[in-house]
Amino acid sequence: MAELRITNTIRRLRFENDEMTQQALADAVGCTRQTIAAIEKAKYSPSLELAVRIAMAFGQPLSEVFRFESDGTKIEISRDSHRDSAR
Amino acid sequence: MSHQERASVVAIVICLLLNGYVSVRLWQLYESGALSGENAPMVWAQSIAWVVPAAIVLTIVSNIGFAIASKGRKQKTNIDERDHLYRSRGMCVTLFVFALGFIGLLIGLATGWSVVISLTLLYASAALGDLLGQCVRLASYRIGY
Repeated sequence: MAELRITNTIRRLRFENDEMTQQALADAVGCTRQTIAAIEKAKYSPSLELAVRIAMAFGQPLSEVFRFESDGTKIEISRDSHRDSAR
Repeated sequence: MSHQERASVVAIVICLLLNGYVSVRLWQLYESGALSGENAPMVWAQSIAWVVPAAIVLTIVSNIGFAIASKGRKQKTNIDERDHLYRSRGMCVTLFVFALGFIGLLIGLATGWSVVISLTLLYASAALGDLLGQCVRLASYRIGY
């Protein structure tokens, strides 16, 4: 099985949201600033609950905040891609 | 450095200081012959018993010291899922090493080691387990994952 790499757009989304600080985001989602920094640097994968909270803080769908790459190829998470892989 | 990372560093320093002193003290007792004879387990226990309260007092004092030193700076002391994960990871290592020491104690007693040597082995595994657990926790914060 190919290695799945998770990337995220939190840093970009923060700047697009009035240059929101890491601390402000951490307070909004209920974690520490250090955890937000670790997630941004891809040093920590958040739980599904925290990932959803972060997406909700930006008003974006989860797939817009967290992206999956396998062998340099971006993997789209959608109902159709699930159907394709199930076939 | 977050509050939790700092707590790990403090725990490592306290662990090294206390157990370094205990090691020297036990060696002195062993050299003087106090750890042989009928009263040996009692002498051993008396020289170890103060370690736990001393560790608690030192941790409290060092935390108060850090709080005074960082007066005026905004300190966030809340704990989140990452802290819980790294704490659990460190705890796993601590328990694994302690379990090895316990098995060593059983084997030692079964094969005729003295009670004091076996208890020292158990104490050493607890101390080493604590140290390694804190190191794993700190490394997790520093390296990630």
